[in-house]
Amino acid sequence: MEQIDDEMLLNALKKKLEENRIAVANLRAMTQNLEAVNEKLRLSESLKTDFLSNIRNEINNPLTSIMGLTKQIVDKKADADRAREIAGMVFHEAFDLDFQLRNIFAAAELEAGETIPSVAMVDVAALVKRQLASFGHKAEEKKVCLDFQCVCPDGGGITFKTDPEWLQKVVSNLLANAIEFCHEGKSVTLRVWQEGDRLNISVADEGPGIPEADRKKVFDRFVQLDTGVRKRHKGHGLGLSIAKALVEMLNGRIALADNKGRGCVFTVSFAEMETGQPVDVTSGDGNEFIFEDGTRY
Amino acid sequence: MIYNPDENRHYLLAGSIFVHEDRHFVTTVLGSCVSVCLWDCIRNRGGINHYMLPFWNGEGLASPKYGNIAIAKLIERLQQLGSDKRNLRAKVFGGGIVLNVTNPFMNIGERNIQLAEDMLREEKIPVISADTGGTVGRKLIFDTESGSVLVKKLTKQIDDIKL
Repeated sequence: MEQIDDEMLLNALKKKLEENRIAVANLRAMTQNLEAVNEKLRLSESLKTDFLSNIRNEINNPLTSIMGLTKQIVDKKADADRAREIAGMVFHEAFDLDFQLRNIFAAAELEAGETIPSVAMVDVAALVKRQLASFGHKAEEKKVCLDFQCVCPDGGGITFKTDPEWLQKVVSNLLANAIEFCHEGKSVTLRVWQEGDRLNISVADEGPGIPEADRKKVFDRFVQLDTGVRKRHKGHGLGLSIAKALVEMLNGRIALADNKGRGCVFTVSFAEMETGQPVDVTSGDGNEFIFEDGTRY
Repeated sequence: MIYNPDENRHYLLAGSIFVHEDRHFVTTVLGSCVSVCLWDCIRNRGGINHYMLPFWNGEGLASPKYGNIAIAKLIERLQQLGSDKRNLRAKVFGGGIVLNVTNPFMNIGERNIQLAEDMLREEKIPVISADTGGTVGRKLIFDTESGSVLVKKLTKQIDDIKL
């Protein structure tokens, strides 16, 4: 057997100790991670509980005002002008309620994994314009100017193969968010452009902006940056988490950046779905050659 | 398994679950993601998920993009259709290694496979076959009635193709 001298023994011990030190450091880092995740899950659970207790008010209040307002017409207490005014208010309350309920259902579907795409050729500019029109009254109310820029290569429209309902949900949530947080008298700019096979949509507002440290948090469910008694904004903090989940299911990305120091800008970017059918979206028969023969399990 | 294109077909996107009482051929494509196919050997029906990351850490929505949610929800959905957990059999696929990853703690594919094994053991659902790991992507076609899975391996390496 080879003779082991003191120096070799010492080196081996040193190496062992160093390995131990690294293992302990790794373990400590992992424990810290676990503690952070644990705290985040606890927070998420408590936000869900808050959501469930708030939802009653959020749904009941608009319904109560819709009923109260329409009762005036039913009771013939309103003349034609007042009736028109009431109709406007009822529409606004119903619009908010509809938007919130759609988001709640979308989040529930996404969390259940039941969101199934239905792919079609979508006229993107027309879809975005429809959304801008439907949020027109919101912008008017806040005196926010809505600006739309569609950068098309040939001056025509952009036709893109994707799920129109998903796209609409992404656009409407980004738009609703931007209008909600934009300062009065300022503008929200929606840009659409195509880059290779990717569709890009950016929504920029001129609001207070989002501090760097909170930028990741806004995509978490039920999270609104101003909460509690200071909460000034409607909604449940679901919109951006829905937009992110849908964009990711389209293999895309959502990014949040500064709008030149005047607010923030959300940008989504995703590729076309590969076929008009919901079946074999990624691998149609056309690119079958990249696969070997199959094995059965 | 005879692949019959006229039967009901479904393409499963990442982060989704598919469970149906009628026979379906479910296709999905996996890189570092993992799919767990569960099949009820008495009722001859099954379901499949496709998750991207092992654990939900409180970020975004608690969706089946995360394994711990995707597996629990898949079992739950099959139970809602009347399946007894004791009759469920599992097949696990995917979890390839995405190249250029040096930190072993960050190997998503392996952690995805590990999670499936751990959770299925905990739920006492036997894994009757599996094709996991490696550096290739996979395309699966799952027959929900017979529980049979046709696996085709991508001839390209994962880093060439975004999955």
